Amino acid sequence: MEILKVLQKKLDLNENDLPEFEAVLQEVKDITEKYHIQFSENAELVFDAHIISFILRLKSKEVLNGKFDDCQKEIESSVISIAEEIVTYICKRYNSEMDKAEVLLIAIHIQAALVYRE
Amino acid sequence: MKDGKVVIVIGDRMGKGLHVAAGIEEAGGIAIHIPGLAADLKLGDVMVQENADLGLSFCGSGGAGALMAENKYGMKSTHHLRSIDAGITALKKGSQVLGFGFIDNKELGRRVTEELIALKKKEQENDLKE
Repeated sequence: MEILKVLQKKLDLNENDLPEFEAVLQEVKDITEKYHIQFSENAELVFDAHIISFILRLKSKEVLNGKFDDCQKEIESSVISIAEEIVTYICKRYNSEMDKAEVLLIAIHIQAALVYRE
Repeated sequence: MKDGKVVIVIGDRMGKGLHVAAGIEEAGGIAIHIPGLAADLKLGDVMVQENADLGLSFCGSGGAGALMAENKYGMKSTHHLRSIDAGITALKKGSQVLGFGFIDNKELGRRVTEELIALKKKEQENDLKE
């Protein structure tokens, strides 16, 4: 996966963790493709970086700083559902509770891909 | 620089960052706040449009806006910053884009602007010597 190699350098990822990240990114890609979500090259890079950062937050038990409920009304409900599917899969894999803020952050990436297609 | 002032663009995933903008203005800089969701993903574009001196990106990981600007425009960026001090260190090392987690306070805007003004002043002094 070419993007993962780029992200390894940019995010200073451990070589040993790459197969695990690759498996998760592929599963997430399957979900987005199922709903015909298409990212531009740059948008895909930052989306994948976000997913990896999310995994690292789960592993380190880092909780997001901030309240985002007021943003939910600006995001399409169908996009929230896709994001929930992604977060549910990842949280299950890492045995963690689903965080609504994480759903919203992923939903914004997806909504941005739909709105700002380059 | 515009009218002798440093220009700093703010892009926050949730469209926030107005407190940071207030801190920038208080310290004597020009703050350009990008409104709306996913504003961080437009940071590099707006920096180019506005010929900005610095970009500040805010999101969960502190990476997206900075990565996007780096990948699209080759801007030197530092991401995953978790404190103002870490941002100041990155700025001193020459980063054009600083990627933070969600922090929206005046202190961040003020301190980053003060440091940027000091760096610009040093650059101008060095140019005069040469």
